[in-house]
Amino acid sequence: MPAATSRRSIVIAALSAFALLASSCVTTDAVTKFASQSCTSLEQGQPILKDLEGSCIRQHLVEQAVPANINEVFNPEAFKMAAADPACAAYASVQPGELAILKTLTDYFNAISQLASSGTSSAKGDAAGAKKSSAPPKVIDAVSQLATFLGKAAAGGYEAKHLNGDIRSSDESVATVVDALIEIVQKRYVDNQLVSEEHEITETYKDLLRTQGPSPATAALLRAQWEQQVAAIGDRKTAADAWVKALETIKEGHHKLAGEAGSLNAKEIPGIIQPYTDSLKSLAPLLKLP
Amino acid sequence: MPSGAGPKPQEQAAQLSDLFLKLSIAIDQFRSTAPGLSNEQVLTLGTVARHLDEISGQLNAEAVAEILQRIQPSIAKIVQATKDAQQAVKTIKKIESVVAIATASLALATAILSGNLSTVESAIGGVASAVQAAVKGGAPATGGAAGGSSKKTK
Repeated sequence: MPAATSRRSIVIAALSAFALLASSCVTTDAVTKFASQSCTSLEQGQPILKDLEGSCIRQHLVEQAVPANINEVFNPEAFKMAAADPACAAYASVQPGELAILKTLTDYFNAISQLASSGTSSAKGDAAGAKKSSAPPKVIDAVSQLATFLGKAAAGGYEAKHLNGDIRSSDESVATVVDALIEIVQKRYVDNQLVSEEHEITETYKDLLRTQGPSPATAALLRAQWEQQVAAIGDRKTAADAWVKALETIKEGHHKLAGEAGSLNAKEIPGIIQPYTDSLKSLAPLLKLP
Repeated sequence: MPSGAGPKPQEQAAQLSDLFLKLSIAIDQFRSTAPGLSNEQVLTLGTVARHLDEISGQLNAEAVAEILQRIQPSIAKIVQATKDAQQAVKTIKKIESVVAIATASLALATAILSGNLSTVESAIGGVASAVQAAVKGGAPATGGAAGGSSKKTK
């Protein structure tokens, strides 16, 4: 029966076309979700980068000598004085550049997410701002390359067929920028500034007890204050450690996508990239600073 | 002349920051645990430790790459001198020796931020002679290299 056969072929063709569309939609969706989750995780790191200066200010506030005049004890200027300390001022001077590095990487993943879903992007990054950081030239170059891609994507007329190739050619820059952020957070924040803050707070309280006499009431109050501050530092370390894990996951996920996106068929990509998205989601609750 | 192959100024700043922070912690540990310290010695060591921590913070911000470029020939010697000072503070029991090493180390840290190569070299000598004197069990080095000779910072 030719009419029935022809109807069946039309149905089969329609189903095949739908399956093809559906699978490519899944691919796009998986990439969008990974890029979007990466973007969210990166944004959550902004307060952590800012807390390099914040930790320094807290440390120097505690270190300030307690004025003899009680009217000066609760002086709001104390914050400004702590912030003006050379170490805190040094952190403040490089902070805009570090935030610009983070913004460019965040914008990159935002653009990937937008391009994979709608085919357009308006994110631009901040390559000029990144130069205000103290990052090595290799990192600044990587940021510039990501910004160049963002410029291309934002110019309009971006063809989705180039996305795989652009992800592949940006992979080294993404890795370089992620490594630079890990270096800042792991070595300079967790292993150095937070250690310094905790140590100086402890020594300052010990000195107060030494010089003012170990009255049990004063000692108990200082210990309670010290416990709170040390616990907060512990929470900050937890958040920073989680962000480092998130950064590593983003780097690995992007690398996987760059290496395999072109060679896998549409159905295989979600299986490859979804674990990275899930891992980023599971880290999200830990990324909040106290 | 900085060579292109060695560690980057940012890496050097991070390494020096880490060393001065550890030295500061070691000095504080000494003043908390060493028996027989006078109030003045506790105060002096506390002041030195705090200044070292402060300079460690400035190095940690890595805003000093330009300064480190100027003292490149001395960086390896600074690293060694600081490691030696830290080791000595952890092992030497004699209070005067530790005070001498601490103050010489602070002179070195301060010299780094000055970016003056001859001041840095002189301060390295100050730390080296303070450590040497401590290890030999003799009196802390005085005179000799500038920068390590002052016994009191405050």
